[in-house]
Amino acid sequence: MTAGSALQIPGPGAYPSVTLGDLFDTRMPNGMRVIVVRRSQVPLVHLRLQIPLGDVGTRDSTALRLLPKMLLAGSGTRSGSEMAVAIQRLGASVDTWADPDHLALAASAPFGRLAEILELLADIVAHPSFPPREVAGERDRVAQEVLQEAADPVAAATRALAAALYPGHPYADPLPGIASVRRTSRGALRSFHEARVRPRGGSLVVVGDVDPDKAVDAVRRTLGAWSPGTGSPVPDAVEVPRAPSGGRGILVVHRPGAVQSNLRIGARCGDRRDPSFPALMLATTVLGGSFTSRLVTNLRERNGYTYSPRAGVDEHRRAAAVSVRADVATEVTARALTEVRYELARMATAPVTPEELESSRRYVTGVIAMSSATQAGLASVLASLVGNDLDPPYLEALVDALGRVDDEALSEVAARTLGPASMTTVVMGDADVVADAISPLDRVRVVGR
Amino acid sequence: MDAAIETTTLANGLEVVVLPDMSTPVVALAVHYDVGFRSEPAGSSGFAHLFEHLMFQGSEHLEKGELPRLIQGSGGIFNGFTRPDATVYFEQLPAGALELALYCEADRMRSPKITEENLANQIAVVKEEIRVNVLNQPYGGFPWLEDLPPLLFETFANSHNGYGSFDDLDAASLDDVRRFFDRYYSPANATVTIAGAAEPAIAVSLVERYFGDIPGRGVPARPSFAEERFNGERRAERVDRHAPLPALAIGYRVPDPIADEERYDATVLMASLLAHGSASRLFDRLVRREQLAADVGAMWGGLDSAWTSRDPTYLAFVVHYPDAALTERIISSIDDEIDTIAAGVPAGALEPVLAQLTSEHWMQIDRKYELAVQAGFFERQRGRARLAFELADRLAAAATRVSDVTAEWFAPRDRAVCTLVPGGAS
Repeated sequence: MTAGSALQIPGPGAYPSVTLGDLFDTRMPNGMRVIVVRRSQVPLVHLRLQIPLGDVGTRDSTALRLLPKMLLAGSGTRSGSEMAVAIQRLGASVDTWADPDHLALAASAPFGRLAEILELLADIVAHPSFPPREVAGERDRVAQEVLQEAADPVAAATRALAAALYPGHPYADPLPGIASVRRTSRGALRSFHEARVRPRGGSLVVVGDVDPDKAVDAVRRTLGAWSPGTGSPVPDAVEVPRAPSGGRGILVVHRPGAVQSNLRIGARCGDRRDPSFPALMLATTVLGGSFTSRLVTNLRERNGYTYSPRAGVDEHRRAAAVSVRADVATEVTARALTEVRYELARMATAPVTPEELESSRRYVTGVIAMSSATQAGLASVLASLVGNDLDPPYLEALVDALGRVDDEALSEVAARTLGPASMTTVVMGDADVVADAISPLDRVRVVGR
Repeated sequence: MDAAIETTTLANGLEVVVLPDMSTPVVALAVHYDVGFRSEPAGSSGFAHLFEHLMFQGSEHLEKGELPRLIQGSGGIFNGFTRPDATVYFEQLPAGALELALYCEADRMRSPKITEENLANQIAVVKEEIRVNVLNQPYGGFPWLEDLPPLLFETFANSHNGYGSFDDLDAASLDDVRRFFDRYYSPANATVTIAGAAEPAIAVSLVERYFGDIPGRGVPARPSFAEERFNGERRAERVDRHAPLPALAIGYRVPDPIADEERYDATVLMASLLAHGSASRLFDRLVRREQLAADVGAMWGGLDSAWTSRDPTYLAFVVHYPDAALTERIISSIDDEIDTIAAGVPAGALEPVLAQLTSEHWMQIDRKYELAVQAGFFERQRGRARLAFELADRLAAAATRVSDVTAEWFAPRDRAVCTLVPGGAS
């Protein structure tokens, strides 16, 4: 016997705490909200700018991919190359992307360069020049990106589930057609930008080693000078249609010769405004949100069917869905799907153990605490709250609410949300091998064969 | 940033590093074992990584699943990874859970509990990891897994696939497990690094408390993995049936990261100047001006960064592009940029690169687990954990060597060129 055996397992220490600290929150005359938090862990400042895009539709999937790239391809005063060098010279970085809810820009810079990075961000978001040669080049690159994403089964399976959960809505995240990418004109992109990219309703989050008053002054001088525009206001986002109701069988998307099947199982659920959301977060964590979850214990650690199964809530500004994902060897597809459905049914019908409840509570809270502990992470967390129409204090309220979830609340939301009968199931894999094997489980429909 | 660092070595040989920072209530722990897939013998490809999985299967006082339950149940996260010269386990936790994480890591350093059943289970899990990341994935493993290493190196140690072949994985036995553990998982072959909300004296005494009684077994002799540089160009082609478009990787041997560190650091600057981000010279040329490629980047033989591998290792430029007919034009543009740098770095070209690398480094080490992992590599491989805070200064000092190193190592075209041929339906 070693001395080690005499030592008790230490306790977990204090419950993780989440504090946002002092938060300066103001709105500029052009309608943009500005939030500044001072943090001085590293000598950097992080910025997150978000512009709501209004009523984009599935037809805008091409513009959503091209516009963020075009922002970095040149402005009235800088070519794309000059812009890249100007950013690098500051020791800064700028990333741009878009989804159906927002155009987003993320930037970091040494804290002493706040004024310069703001000047660049204002130029990038408000004054893109859409140089014709760059438009042509980005169209080619986006076409290549689309081909690569279409070939990636992990991404394609996730997209197939989104298409089933949000039919006809841009949250279905359709891949644009290559032809549509190639014929997108400079004029169309410019109009899209003019019509939708405006300061009103937008938000800027600044986190770093900066004096909040001085930071707000610097923002006013730059993004504050962005004209609110004179045209009609940007129409509101398209309503998300009601969730398709359950019992939808299994959709098999054929991928000849695939050595794995990508299982994607999901259903729409309440979003952060739903009072049962904290309980749902814990329920999906118990199901598949951590390494100790039931899906990992069963599919990975007991059966060796898959490397990294997970469950979670996928959130948009105006809708949310729970989903389960597991990429499993082709030959165990039916067995793995059976186990996933068993675990979903068990969540929906039987209580979780007190240990599962406490452990998931601390884990989810700890992850929130850690993701807001880095400067860049805090900027991201705040941007995601504000972009989804939640005020920053929501985060502290969420942590309180997580602390109060009891087994009854968890069982109630699990029964309502996680029952396998109400789930949509997508299997991307070799239909010639898996379709027959899974047919005893449910009605099977094969596409792409 | 005031960077106090405490380092000590326990009687059993375990190295301990503490990088205290009380600015957030988060602490990270990294346990670095000085063994990676370079040390696997022929017939045991993939074993170091498989062993990493097995270290999560239970230990003397912790049942299978208990370590994840304890760590995540405290509000923390954990993971592990295997590289050519290291296997690293890490946790990031609320400050009060450090002692718990130390207990867990010490228990498995003392005595992991691995059964036939767990071994078979994790062989199956690793195969699924390989299927999802490599076999079923367009561009899976390109070019680091099976493409460049066999062109750049001769020996099995340096050239084999570190994920392992399915046959070798299936052949792994409990005897192999015991031998590997006895030889490589000795406390003297490991470094424990703590970063974040931990008071150094207390942290060191906790490490002593939990790890101090693990019997010392010495440091295994590390064989030389050195290989001569080669002359000329070695080419290979592989078909990827999932990929819709071609890709190209050009790999070069590089100076010894430790024995020849100034030249190696100059190589890091050169790689960034040429291929790191959208301000880089190759991006500007291949993507923006000539519009030949969709993207171009640099990758290192140590995989995630330039700072995880010992000698011999490599640097590669990786390009994705629309049409195989462009391959030679792309290679010749890359050669042209290399020749330009070899002839002399344009005035003012490196300052922006240094500014960019400095900011990226700060952002990275604001994540405490990344600081702990990186300081662990620097302490174990170079005896200098402090480099985690001095990296930018060190790189700046190498700026004057960039063109010489480029002329000596890159301009001669001693290299490996691998093209990926798309075999997928588009």
